[in-house]
Amino acid sequence: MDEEVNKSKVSHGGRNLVVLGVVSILIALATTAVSLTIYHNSGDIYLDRSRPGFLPDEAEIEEEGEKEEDYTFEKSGKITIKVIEEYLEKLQIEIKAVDSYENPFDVDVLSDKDLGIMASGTEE
Amino acid sequence: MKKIAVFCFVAFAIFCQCPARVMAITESQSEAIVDNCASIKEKLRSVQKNDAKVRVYLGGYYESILTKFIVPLNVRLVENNLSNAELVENQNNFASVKALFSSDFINYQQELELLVSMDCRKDPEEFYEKLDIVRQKRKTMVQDVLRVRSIISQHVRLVEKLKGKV
Repeated sequence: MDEEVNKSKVSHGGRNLVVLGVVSILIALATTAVSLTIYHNSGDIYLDRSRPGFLPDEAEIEEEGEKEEDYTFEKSGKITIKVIEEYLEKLQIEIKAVDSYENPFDVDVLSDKDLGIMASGTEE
Repeated sequence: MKKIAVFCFVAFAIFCQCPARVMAITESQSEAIVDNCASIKEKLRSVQKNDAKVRVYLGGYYESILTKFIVPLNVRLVENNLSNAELVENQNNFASVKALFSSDFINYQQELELLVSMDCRKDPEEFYEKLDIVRQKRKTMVQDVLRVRSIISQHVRLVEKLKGKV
């Protein structure tokens, strides 16, 4: 009788251990997903991606680009006026994208006024 | 006598170089920093995140322009025996300013990170001095962006000129 009770206790413990393991994994997955979502939505991801070695690589540029098509100038072939015109036309698309970012690193955002360091009643 | 004169001249020269860095902060500015410390830090964090986005955005396009346009064009020109020294120099300038843009951004972000981690309530003067350093670094970033843009414009002009040679 005692042996039967002991056996049932042992098998119960093993099952509980498995349940504990599975639940722990599920909790870990859920918290990781939540953390990654916060990491992405808060914009912190951009801080890390702006560090050295994290420049968008070619594949990333393709994914992110809102460009109509991916274009790379051919390294070989004849050079004609038509080829140069096409080159300049495609290059202008990239230039427009660069120019579309108005005032990058605008210095005013760190001014006393913008940061609220102005003494009360004074204006810059 | 001569030695004293030289010493005085050197001392004066060193003295003239230093005081520019000493930031004058008024009492009311100091109070404003202490009072608005939390909101100032919040704004700085927001600036930090936005700058990182700009870095990724512009850095991506600079990389694209260099590797998908400028370099392949020069390779193709060499292949066609139309190698252009000005375009090669332009490519080198672009690559070096792009690298400078990256390293200056790291310096700028490091200073900004230090500023954000400072306790502005404890020492507003030191905080303001650091803020001034960050402002200078940010100005450097603007200059880098303008330099890259100027090199791109020069590249377009050189390629336009190339049309007359083919």
